[in-house]
Amino acid sequence: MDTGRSELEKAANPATKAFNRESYFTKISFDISNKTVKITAKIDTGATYTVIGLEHKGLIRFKDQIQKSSMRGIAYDASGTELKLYGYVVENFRLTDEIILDKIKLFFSEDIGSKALLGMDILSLFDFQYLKEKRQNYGTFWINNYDEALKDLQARRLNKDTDYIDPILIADVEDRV
Amino acid sequence: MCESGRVVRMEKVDVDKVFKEYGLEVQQVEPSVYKVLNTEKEISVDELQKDLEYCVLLTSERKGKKRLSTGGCYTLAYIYYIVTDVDNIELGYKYDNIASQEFGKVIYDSYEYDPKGECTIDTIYARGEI
Repeated sequence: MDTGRSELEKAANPATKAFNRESYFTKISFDISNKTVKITAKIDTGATYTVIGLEHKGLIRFKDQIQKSSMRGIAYDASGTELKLYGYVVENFRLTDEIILDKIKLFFSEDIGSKALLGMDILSLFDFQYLKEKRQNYGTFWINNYDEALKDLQARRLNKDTDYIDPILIADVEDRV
Repeated sequence: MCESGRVVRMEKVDVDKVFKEYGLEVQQVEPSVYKVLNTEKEISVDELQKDLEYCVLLTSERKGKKRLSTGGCYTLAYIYYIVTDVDNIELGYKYDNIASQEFGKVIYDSYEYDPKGECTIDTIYARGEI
């Protein structure tokens, strides 16, 4: 019996629709201005931040409003190229079937094209695990004890008195109200 | 082929053949836009996108999943509209709005085949890490 375990289902590569053992993509979705956009993000434990590319066809219509955000950041790709990040609060962020965050700040950037990376800022909020299936050539990412993690996030949010989750700041908040 | 500064992709895919393979009954409402008439049919969204190569699908929320023996899942959903001109951004948004009025919750799901996307190194570093 899977008690409190939620699967980050492996999705096909968003560019080729192929499945490779070496890459792990998963589908996330969120709402901006009451419109739901589905994005296939690469799970990247080497990425410090979760960043969504503003050239994704579903996001171009929101580019102006996102780039007007006063929440800004800077990151770098592997070649050292600077990436401008815009923080924007989205609604109903669906990470898995069981994990939906009603309001969370995500970073967006036009410097990564239409790609999307699910990074350690969000992953490390949870007890996540890669389990290789026995006698198979593939594995699955799981989030364990997600109920506890969601309760913890809610408590920290109340303590910080914000109505959204900031994946960078939330971990530094005391979990006692 | 260029139109008003936009590059319009040549349709290499026989879309009618693809629709038939998936059992989709469609009505062409505009060039490059097809309204699905049998919207209660669950379709493997990823496989349909792969076969169409370039498309925007306006779909329901996920209705189920098709788990593969090699690991991984395909999403099953109802399809409302299919837009095959992905470069016409406004066309996809127009039908997103139309579908939302008709069906309520609609998911905008675009796909463009890119063979270079097979092997990429993607990562992000914070200031001071690199």
